[in-house]
Amino acid sequence: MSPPRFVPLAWATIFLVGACAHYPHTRPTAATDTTGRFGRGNYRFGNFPASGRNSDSIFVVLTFSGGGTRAAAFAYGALLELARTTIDTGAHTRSLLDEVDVISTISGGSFTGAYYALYGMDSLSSFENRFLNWNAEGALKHQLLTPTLFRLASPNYSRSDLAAEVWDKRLFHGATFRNLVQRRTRPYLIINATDIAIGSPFSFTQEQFDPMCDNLSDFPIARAVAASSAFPGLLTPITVENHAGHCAFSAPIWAISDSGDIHLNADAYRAARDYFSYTESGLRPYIHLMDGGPSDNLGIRPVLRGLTSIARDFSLLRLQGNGQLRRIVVIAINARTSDISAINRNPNPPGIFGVLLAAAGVPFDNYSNESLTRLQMLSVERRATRLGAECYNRLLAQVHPGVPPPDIAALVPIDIVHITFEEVKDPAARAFFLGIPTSFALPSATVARVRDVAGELLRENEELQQILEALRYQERREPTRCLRQ
Amino acid sequence: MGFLLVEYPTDRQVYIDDVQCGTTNTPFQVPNGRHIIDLGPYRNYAPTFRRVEVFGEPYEAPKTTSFDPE
Repeated sequence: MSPPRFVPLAWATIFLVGACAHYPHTRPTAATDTTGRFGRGNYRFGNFPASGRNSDSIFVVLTFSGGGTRAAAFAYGALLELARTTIDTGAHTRSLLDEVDVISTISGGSFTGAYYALYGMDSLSSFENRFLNWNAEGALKHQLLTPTLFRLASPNYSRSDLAAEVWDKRLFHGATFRNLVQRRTRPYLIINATDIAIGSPFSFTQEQFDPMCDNLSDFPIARAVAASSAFPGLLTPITVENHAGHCAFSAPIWAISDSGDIHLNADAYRAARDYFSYTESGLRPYIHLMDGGPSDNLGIRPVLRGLTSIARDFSLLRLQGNGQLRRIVVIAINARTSDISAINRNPNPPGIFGVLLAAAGVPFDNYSNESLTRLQMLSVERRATRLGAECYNRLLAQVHPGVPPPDIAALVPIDIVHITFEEVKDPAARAFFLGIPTSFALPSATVARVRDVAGELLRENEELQQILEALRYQERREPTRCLRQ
Repeated sequence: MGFLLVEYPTDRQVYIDDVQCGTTNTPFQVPNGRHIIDLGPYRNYAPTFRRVEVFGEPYEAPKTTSFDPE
């Protein structure tokens, strides 16, 4: 029996309609406030004031690495443990999670960070069933068996656009960054991707969107998470339209100053040049974003920028210069594994796909390690500067008795807590965790083990326990011993 | 990064690149590079602003600049 004649027509119609699919357009802003006074309503750190149980004096930054569901579960376990960890200073009792000010996320970690920032601690337990124990990969593949498949025929609609829709339906329910601003409570979430044209980190903040005249408040959180987790080769980039030139944008002074001389500050120079590249909508009308891993798989880069810049929206250097901070604690939740070493167990050289995967994945770890090392160096430098300043002030007091020396309270300590599977003591368990693949579908038992080990590692972490001791009982420091005293 | 000391007869807020950060007469850290320094919107001081170049100055020998009351 021949099929009815309307069947091919119906398929052709579905194909043609699907081929017209387009990713969501972004709306240009009417005006942009880049003066550093931080207009209300935009997604800027300045619009997330410390309040309630969160104080500025202890500034806690969490970073969640990439690594699929493994990373999401590791970050989730860390949040649960921080919620259980209390700080009792005598006057106040609160959890360490209450004190978290900023969460910077990459890829798999972005799912956990975004879910927590959007729904808060009360709804966090639902994340386990909504995402961690859900076969997200299967859900994506299922979409390919529906008429949605035809939308992929459109050059303006890709697998990551499809993924963003799936994440939105399951987790974020149409939420945009405006919903985060409306919460007006910390943590301030920084979801990170990579701008593939310039290879630089791209943070979903209004400051990043300013030169493009784009309003981040209208941008769906699901699309930011999809961009952050668009692993090169497996998923396609997420595209953002650049509307530069369509608003009253004026470049901030920091960008003009920093773009002047590469020799004074190469990092700031590069950041300023990247920033100005977004003002060139003629040259860069579309910004293509993929997984944050290639530019920073730990989410540490925004923290480094905050510690070394003064006029950017999120600047820890400014907060400490204004005397608002007493201690900075960075807790890096790093779900890295050693699964890439599987290449070495095969006598045959890897094929094209294997090489592409290695080329995309191996630099993740190298770059992440460099970011972590720079953070550690900043911490050590700060300690040395503070000790030196203490000794210098003592000398001043001897030479000029009665003249109060300069206040060094602004030289706040930077503490780093780095949690990885490599710290798992039991060799068999360690091998298990280090062998978990990067995937968006893990067995529930594996998810539970990853969740629980995050708590164990935080409880066993010496640096964290020392920080808690200092926060709870006030530090009893040994007096600084200076030369020739 | 380097230390910057902005001298003024009284303690008041310091603005760096148009953003308030730090106070006069106390050294504080700023990123290496060229910066525009002023003492905020109440312009009862001179000059109106100063340009400084910071490059790794230590706490003990900060980059120093000054303003006078007008």
